[in-house]
Amino acid sequence: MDIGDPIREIIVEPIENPARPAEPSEPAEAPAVRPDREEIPA
Amino acid sequence: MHDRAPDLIGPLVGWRAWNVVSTEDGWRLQSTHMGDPWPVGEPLEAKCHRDRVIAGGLPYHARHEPPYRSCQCGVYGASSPEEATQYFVPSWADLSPLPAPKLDESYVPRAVGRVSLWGRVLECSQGYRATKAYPAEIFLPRHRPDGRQFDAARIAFDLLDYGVPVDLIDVSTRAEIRDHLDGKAAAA
Repeated sequence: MDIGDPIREIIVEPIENPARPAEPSEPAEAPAVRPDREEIPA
Repeated sequence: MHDRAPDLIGPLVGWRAWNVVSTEDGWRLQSTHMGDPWPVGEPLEAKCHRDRVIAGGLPYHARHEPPYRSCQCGVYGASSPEEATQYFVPSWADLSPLPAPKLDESYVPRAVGRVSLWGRVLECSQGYRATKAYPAEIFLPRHRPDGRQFDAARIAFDLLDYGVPVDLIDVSTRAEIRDHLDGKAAAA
């Protein structure tokens, strides 16, 4: 592959390892259902 | 680890092509020039093959750590898709009116895509040579250059083991592949 002549040398250190792509995140848990309010006696 | 502070903290991303080969673990990527297998879940580490070449009784180069400025070693990524598309076997349409290539029954088209590059990197005028690399996105043509079918879906499924996006693309000429990748590059 012809990518031309070298210009400079750089050090590249990714924070996350590109060889360990992040797993798809787990679906968020369903929000807790607020209990029905107690019936207020008439 | 390096003995100086990093210049960048994210991987560089380039474009390249791969051979797609059958292994005992399924279909995998392979470097087009030196045939290095691209491992799943760990980076491909650059090796220089030229320092073992004997020229006139002497090594072609003294042993060195790739990428070495005056060698051609390192894992390559081009800064634009154009260069990567040169590595496809031409289709009938590309060659006409020349004779079409004769392809083996088991021929599988090369994949192309984006590659993450990091470690010690030589930034070049049209791309990069790096010590470490891993696929970032893989595109596999759905058809062979001669128009014959192959099991593209099965191969794409195996390539998902790399944990990166794998797309089957409906292209048959180099120009179509280049246009497709240019669109991806513009959208990135």
